[in-house]
Amino acid sequence: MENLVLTRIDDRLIHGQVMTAWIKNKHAEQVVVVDDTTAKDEYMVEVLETAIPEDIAIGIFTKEEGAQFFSQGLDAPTILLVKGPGAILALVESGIDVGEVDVGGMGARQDRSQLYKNISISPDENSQLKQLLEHGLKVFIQVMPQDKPINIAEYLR
Amino acid sequence: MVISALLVALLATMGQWWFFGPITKCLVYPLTTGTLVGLFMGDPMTGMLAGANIQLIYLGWISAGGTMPSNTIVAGIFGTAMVILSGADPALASTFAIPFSMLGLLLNQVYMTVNAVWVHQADRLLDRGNIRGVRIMNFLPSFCMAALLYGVPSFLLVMSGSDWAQSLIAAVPDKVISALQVVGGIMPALGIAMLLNYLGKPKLIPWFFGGFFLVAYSGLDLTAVSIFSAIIAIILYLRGENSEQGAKKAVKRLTVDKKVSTVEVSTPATPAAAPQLEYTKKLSKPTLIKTWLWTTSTEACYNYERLQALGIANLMITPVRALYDSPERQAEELKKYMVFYNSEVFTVGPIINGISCSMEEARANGADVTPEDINVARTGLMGPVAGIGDTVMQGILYPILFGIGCSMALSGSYLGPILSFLIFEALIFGCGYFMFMTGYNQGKSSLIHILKDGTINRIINAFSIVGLMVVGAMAASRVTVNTPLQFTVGNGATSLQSVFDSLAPGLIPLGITMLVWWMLKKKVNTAWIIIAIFAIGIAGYFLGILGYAG
Repeated sequence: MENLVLTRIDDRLIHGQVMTAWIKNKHAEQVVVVDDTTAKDEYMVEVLETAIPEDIAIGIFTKEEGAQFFSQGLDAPTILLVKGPGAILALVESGIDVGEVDVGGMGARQDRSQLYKNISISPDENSQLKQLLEHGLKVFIQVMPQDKPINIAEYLR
Repeated sequence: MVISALLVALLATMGQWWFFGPITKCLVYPLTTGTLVGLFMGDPMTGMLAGANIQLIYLGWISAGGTMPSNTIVAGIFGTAMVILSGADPALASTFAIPFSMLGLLLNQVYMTVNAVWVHQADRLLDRGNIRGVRIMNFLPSFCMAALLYGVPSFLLVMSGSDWAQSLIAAVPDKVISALQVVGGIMPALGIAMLLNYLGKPKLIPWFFGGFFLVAYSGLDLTAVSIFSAIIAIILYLRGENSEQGAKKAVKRLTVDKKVSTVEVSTPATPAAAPQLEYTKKLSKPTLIKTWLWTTSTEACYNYERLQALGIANLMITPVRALYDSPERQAEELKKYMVFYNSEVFTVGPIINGISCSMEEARANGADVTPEDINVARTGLMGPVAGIGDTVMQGILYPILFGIGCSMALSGSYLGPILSFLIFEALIFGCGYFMFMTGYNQGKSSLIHILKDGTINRIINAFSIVGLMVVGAMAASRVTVNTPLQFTVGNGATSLQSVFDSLAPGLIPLGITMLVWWMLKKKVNTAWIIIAIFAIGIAGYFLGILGYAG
């Protein structure tokens, strides 16, 4: 999709790497978070809205809202942030062209096991990522802009 | 010799084993480590100069979220030690430091990978209710790893003596040394351009040129420029505070139908009232202060798997012990902290630890606060807090601080490293304590209060201006190359440099800085930029186009 400069899976959503590196590297003017729990949590919406630099526009949507938002195309360079592959899959299945998918941060959790360095995934996420690959999407691990993208296909179980 | 080597080894170990943030975080900066290595090896002046030269390369590099773009710990310590051992010109420090930095990235990866093992060990100890064991796991094994990976090699390097290093330098032809000096004269352009790239919003760029030409024409030193720019920033900051518009935090909100509306969110007049529950168990002031002090060791066992989890569990031991009497319950309550956690933990981040303490206190007094509630708040906040902390501290304040420190150091003043160290400490202790206590006193609403207040944005804007003027001044004074090229016009030889100077002083440093900045904008990998600088410097010297002006 035109103007979608980065589609990133990152369970910390907006943080140091996104704010100090990616927004600048991609010359993004908008950040869109698609995550059901975050969108419904007034407190987190307020935190994210106030934490982002003033000149960056921010939208925090549920999956349905996200699909509606992206179906209208984008006017400015935009970064799409989600917490896990599920949200991307939902957007793809609603017919949104999300482009390449960057796996940037999936922290260790009880249900997750280590995939690559500081990236961990659960069995569910593993199959969701596989489905993304089946949709013909390129999915890679790249934490920081200067890192070499690593094709995730070889690491999935 | 043995004592020197032991001290340097200890320094190198502490450089990676971040057991006490206020000190160890400062060892990431070569200006600090270089001076200390010099002190330990009996030549503090050379150490400081080498450290400052190395620091300049890495000025604008930001490590965010457990990544490390360059190992400035190894670069600073090993690079400086090599300069002192070999007796080389400190201007060559960057040549030594860069390969060490790359090797250091490998060491850091091994350290971060192996440390995950201790976290699993801590899980098991916690299952058995061994809280003391968790504390030991946070500190001891990671110390051993750092000593092995950083301490031993640096010990051996210093013990190896200066004979081989001196003969190594002696074996290098003078011309090559001179060429490498030219490279050393260009290299600061990288750190400067990275900072410029980071701070340089289009409407602020004129401040960079202001700083540059102020120094190029007047020869003012960086301290003077810093003072002027600080005055300008304070004026702008205060103006922002007074004006209607600046006092509020503006949010550009996207709606589902793709409209952008700019909303101003202002602070509610009164902070939300504290929960009115009657607390029977209170965290005492000494307990809170102790907990805040433990936040300094959040990164002691930094690892790829769960990053700061063990450090957080360790710091929460203090309040949890104060709130619960039975050791079984204490261990149970601590388990929720053993999950992935990563934030900026020394200046802004303590607010989250403060919030955890207030939630933990409410829970112990029977309020309906589940472990999930605490973790949802913590994991939700760690990202945005790191974003703000990294932007303000690593992105703006620390580089300005160490940039000014470097310039003072390079003009031979020990005040450079000392002042930057002292202000660094004041920032960490001052902000950290304030944030921790605010988080505890105001709970979850504290962060929103601070963000809505708009102060952070005004700090970012004001200090970006200081930063850009300082960066401009450094480009004018620290990129030290000129051209020795001569050409004959009529009956006399004219130097190209004098032609340039008659146009405007400092055109070559400015051109080089712009070139590196352009490469960064084109997203050229920094490794390639470093190679390009070596190529330009060496070729430039041998073709007689570039000379070292240090």
